[in-house]
Amino acid sequence: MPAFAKIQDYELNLSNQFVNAETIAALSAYILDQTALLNEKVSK
Amino acid sequence: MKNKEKVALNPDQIHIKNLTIDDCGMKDGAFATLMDALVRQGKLTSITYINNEFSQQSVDALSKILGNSAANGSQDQQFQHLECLKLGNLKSGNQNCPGRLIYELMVAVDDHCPKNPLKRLKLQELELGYGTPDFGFDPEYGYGSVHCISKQFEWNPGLLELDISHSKLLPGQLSSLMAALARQYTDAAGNSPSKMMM
Repeated sequence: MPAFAKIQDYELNLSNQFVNAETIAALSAYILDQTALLNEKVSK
Repeated sequence: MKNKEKVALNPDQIHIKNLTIDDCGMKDGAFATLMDALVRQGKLTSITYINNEFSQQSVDALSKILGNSAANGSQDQQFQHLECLKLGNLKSGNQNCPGRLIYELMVAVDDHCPKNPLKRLKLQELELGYGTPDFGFDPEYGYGSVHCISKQFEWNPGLLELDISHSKLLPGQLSSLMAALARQYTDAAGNSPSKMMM
């Protein structure tokens, strides 16, 4: 996960943080990856 | 894969319910990319997107979020739909966000309202006055975005908050909106529209 993006208590606040296409792509990939892992864990 | 397994999988650090993006220099494509990831979680209940770029990709991505359903959520029983949408001071390139895009978004809000009704809607410093006779005209409600917002009064009794400040409405459009609100008020409480307008 990009250092600037901390998900806490189901909340993501990116206010006043400069982002670009690369950082958002990395964040989106992290979200998808972790969501898939979590779903896998829950379904077991 | 071993590294991934070592990471604690805490839902409150993975699932995103509340998203705030204010003044980040966020581009249209980046916002759409993030929305495409979040639509798959099916948890997002609140979006605040202010002082960033908003164009066609953002409209399309937000429309998907608005129309998201349990089938797209990671866990159907825990699916949550969007309840709060706050947009403000958005740009398309160096220009203000065109009213046409806000109209397209409002059409999606209305289309998905029966299944996924919003509770809070903020459209601040946006061009809501957009409309042409060929594009959403209704002789009762008016044009374009105003027409769609008026429909929210009729179709979405759960709408608790509407903020359309600094939205460049023409006097006739504001009057049309107030009349629609008054009609709804009359239906619910039996009072006349004229009393409401006072």
